[in-house]
Amino acid sequence: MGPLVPDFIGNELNFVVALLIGVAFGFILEQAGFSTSKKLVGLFYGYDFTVLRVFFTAGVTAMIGVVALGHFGLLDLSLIYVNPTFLWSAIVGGLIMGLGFVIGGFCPGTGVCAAAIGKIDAMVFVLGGFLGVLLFAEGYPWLEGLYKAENLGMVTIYDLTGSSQGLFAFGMTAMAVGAFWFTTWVEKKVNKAENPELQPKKLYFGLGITLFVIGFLTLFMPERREALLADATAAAEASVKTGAGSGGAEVGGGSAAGGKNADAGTSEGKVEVGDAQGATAMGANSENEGAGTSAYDKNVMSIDELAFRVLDKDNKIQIIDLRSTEEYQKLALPGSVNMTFDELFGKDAHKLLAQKNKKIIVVANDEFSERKAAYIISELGFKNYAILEGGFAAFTKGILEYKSDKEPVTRQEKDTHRFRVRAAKELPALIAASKKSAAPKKKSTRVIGGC
Amino acid sequence: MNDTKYMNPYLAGFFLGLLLLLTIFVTGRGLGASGAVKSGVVATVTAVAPAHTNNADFYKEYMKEHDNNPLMNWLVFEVIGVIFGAFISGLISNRLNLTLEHIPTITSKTRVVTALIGGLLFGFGSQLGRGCTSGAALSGMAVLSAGGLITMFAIFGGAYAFAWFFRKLWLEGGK
Repeated sequence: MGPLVPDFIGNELNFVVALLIGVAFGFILEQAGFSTSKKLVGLFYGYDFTVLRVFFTAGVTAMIGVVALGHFGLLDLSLIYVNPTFLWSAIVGGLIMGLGFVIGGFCPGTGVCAAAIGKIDAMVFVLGGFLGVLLFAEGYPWLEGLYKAENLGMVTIYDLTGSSQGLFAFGMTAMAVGAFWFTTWVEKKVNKAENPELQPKKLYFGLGITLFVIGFLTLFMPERREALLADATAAAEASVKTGAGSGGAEVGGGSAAGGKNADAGTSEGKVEVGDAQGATAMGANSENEGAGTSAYDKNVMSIDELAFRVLDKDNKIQIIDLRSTEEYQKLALPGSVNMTFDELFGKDAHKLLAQKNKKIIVVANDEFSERKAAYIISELGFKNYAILEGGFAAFTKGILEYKSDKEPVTRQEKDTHRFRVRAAKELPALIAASKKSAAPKKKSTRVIGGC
Repeated sequence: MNDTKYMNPYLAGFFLGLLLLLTIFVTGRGLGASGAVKSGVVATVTAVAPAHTNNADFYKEYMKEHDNNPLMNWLVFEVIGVIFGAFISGLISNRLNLTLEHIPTITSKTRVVTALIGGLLFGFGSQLGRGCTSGAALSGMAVLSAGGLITMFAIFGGAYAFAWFFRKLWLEGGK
């Protein structure tokens, strides 16, 4: 999943990538004719709209690509750089640049490009650019107010206006196509001739169709995230229904000590011995026992097993906690990571889920949410996971606040009782200790880009 | 020298768009140009007047962001690439030659002065607007950044608004 920096491509390699991308960038700009000021300012006088054509085709192509990659879950849009919006500096800065454009005949990128093929005016323009930046740097104390006024943050136009990304992409595309048509008409009037560079027409057809198909697929195919979230609810409902008649793995009330179901669950012979060894064995049992019911029930971990593994500081598990941040901050299992459903689709979650030799334990308040999350995780392609039997509510009641309300009779009941009493004593201490030593939550941050 | 043919603008735009998309997918950021100029300025000032960069906020902020090495910047490498890429393209298409380009009705001196002033304004504006045509407008449009789109409309709108006053620089006879 993109962006590939910094996980797949390190910071040093990124400079090599920058160089290669630059070579391609410079090559395309020069081939497009951006190395001559006559062509660059043509659009402002109506005789040559090359800049507008190249610029908007590029913008629309990249924009549709970004929308599509995000839509199909291939690019984490929350990590890519979105130019921050400072309203006044954007407007005033843009107007000054516009003035510089019609006076100087270049913009920085095209200026560098033209200078590279020997245009002296471009070299002078780039030198002017240095002086302009220097002027800004020296005048920064006076300009800082304007520079930092009306900070709206790294906001996209669709978030700012409360509209949808697809709608804006469509609007921008329509605007670009309209501009292409209009400027070609203007150009013909001004030059009193057809522009020979606009042949062959077949090309437009090809390019148009390509972008249209991608755009169409993106608009009408369900977004991966939304589709999975919707399916997840249905799948969770179905799994609860099939699970209901199957006994062993069914959780029902979820309260280990109190509810009848849970009693049935423990007395069914899952818990062999209450000591450390036994709990692991029990875990293994619970996994096998669920077999033959539904796919999910194979992936249910009992509260005792989880408690044991946490106490044992088992590093073969990775707990993903889907409860609210407040709940998580109040009480978090050691080594667990707090996440929202949406974040499951992100790159950070991807990294957690992709850990080798680690079983993902999905924890939420109730088992239904866990089943939803489990469905999503499984659809994302990760199969080594389990959900917590009865959810965190059951865990709290059955382990953390364990109170036996009736005398254990059978051996298994006695063992379970003994283990839970121990867990109820040791776990809270462990949780408190881990809270103190816990490193601050590390999250992938947006790439810093911009000029 | 004869003008060799340029690439079809829509095809060039399509390639440029794909490149920008690839850049975003790989690096998470867009293309740019003026940022490299900024790095160059900071590096130069640091070398010439090191005491000054420790005083002024602008340099201090920049140095902090770049671990005191202003040239270790993504855009610096990218722009070095642009120089190579453009040179290769000029070589292939037979467009390499040292010229000062301007219309016959203005003098070379006028062209040099206007290029300098234009560059100065663009450099200044790109700092205020946090990016130029590539970094703010084009890359901003690709990710539908609000600021990028505003800057884009301001650049093109501004250029159209001021174009009439400078028509004599670009149109023979200034019609």
